[in-house]
Amino acid sequence: MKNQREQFVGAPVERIEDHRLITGKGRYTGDLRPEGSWTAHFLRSPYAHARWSKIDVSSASALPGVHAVFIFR
Amino acid sequence: MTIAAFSYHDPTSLPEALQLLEKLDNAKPLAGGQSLVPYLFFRMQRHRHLIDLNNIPELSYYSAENGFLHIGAMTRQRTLLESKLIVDVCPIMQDALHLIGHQATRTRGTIGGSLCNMDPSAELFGVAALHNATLRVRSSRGEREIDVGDWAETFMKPSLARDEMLCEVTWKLWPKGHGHAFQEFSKRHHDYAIVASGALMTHDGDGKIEQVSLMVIGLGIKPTRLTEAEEMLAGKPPTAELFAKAAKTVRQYDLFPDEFANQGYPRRFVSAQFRRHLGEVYARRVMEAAWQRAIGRETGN
Amino acid sequence: MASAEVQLTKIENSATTRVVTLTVNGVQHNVETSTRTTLAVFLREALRLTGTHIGCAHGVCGACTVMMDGESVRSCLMFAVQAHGHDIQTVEGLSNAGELAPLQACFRAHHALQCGYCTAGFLMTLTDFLSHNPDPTEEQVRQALTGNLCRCTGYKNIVDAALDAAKQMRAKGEAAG
Repeated sequence: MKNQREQFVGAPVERIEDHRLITGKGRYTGDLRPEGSWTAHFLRSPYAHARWSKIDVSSASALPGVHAVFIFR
Repeated sequence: MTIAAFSYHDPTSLPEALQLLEKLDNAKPLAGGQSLVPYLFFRMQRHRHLIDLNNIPELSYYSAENGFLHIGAMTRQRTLLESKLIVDVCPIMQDALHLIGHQATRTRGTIGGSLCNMDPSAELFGVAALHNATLRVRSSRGEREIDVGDWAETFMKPSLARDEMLCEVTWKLWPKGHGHAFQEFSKRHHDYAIVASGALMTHDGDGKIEQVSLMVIGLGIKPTRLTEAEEMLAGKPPTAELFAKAAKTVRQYDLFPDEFANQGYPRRFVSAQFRRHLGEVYARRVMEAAWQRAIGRETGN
Repeated sequence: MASAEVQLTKIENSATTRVVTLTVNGVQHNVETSTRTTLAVFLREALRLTGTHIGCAHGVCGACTVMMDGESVRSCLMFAVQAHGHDIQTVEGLSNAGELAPLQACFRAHHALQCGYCTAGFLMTLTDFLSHNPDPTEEQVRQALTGNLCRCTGYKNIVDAALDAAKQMRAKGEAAG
């Protein structure tokens, strides 16, 4: 059996992760669905340097499937 | 963002689609979706109803009859690009289609969708303008024809009534063997054209330009036919000086109304001065290329 | 194109969800879905086929590319309901009983992927392209790939892999007679 130096130095080495990536079996963060987890969506201000007077989350909270709405105060 | 909620309708016939368009409030026909769905995603547009036209076979066809080309509004760009008939009777359409979007967007994108979306960079609008096309629109009330010169109402809005839909575009074909060229400038391959130009030309068999049609995209909200340049060229023997002089007529155009001049990429980053310069350069290039083709010498376009 | 603030009070339920019947990688599915769910999200969430990725979600990056009825499409620009009655192929359907397609094997051999996020999109675009253009020039391959963005590889290895795969498939085709 070749020692590691002889085996790898100068030789083309295929990556070990390629097989799952080319067959669509990669597990990227966005692919994970841990048991009991919810999905977060961020709503960002469309205005820069705006001053907020009021944020009304009642209709958003009432939508089916919405567990919680968080705003910064 | 997520696409805002809407009611989805999928009629299977044109009369059904027109009825929906007439009866529903804030309804938008959905053609290829390659432009509309991104607008919905960004919430730049929002509609109560989407009328999916993709299950209406009678809107998807193309044929050449009695010297006229007829194309149904839902005909896919890819279909036209791969068509031997189109290469044969209207080669400039193929020149333009190669430059439109990408393989996947051409699979779904339609000619009607492009004409109705009316992006100022739309190549197919330019091809239609070159040919003095007629657009056939229908509603439950009936049918009417609109000349391509009257198609644009304002920035990205064709002159369609709320309940009207584009069904067909048609134009007279140029004689077999006519010269043609379509070129465009963009930051990267297949980005929205900053400027594009197209030319159709025939020669009279005696070394002179017979018929010529010229247009530039990117000078305004719609393609600009260079009518002054066309008059300069018709009946004349072509020289480099003549083409340069004709191309110079581009300098007079400044057609983006101020309120739209800074709308969206790429226009925000490209001055009118640069556009006019590019327009002149590309107009000259397509004139030269179209003439070479007209006299039977192929160029790389 | 002015953004209209539409007051949506009540939308008829019947046109906001649909049951979609479609074939994905040869397997038929019947799934109820919201009509505003894109095909990309549907494949990933409803069918748990997460090989198809969403990069930009507005049709410019190509990561979401799948094939419908044998032609490449942007799955982020289609609604799932529009695939009703159609045949979808995703990256998970490229390999046959565990054996890699020539294109996939060439991607690995030519180091045509690094992070792998864009890879599925490239594979589907190329599967479409090579099935219609079995003997392309390098320039034609580059033209075909304008709609797929990669931040890692610099594209050269992808182009090499595509040309090598085309060559192998032609040889296989000739051998089969």
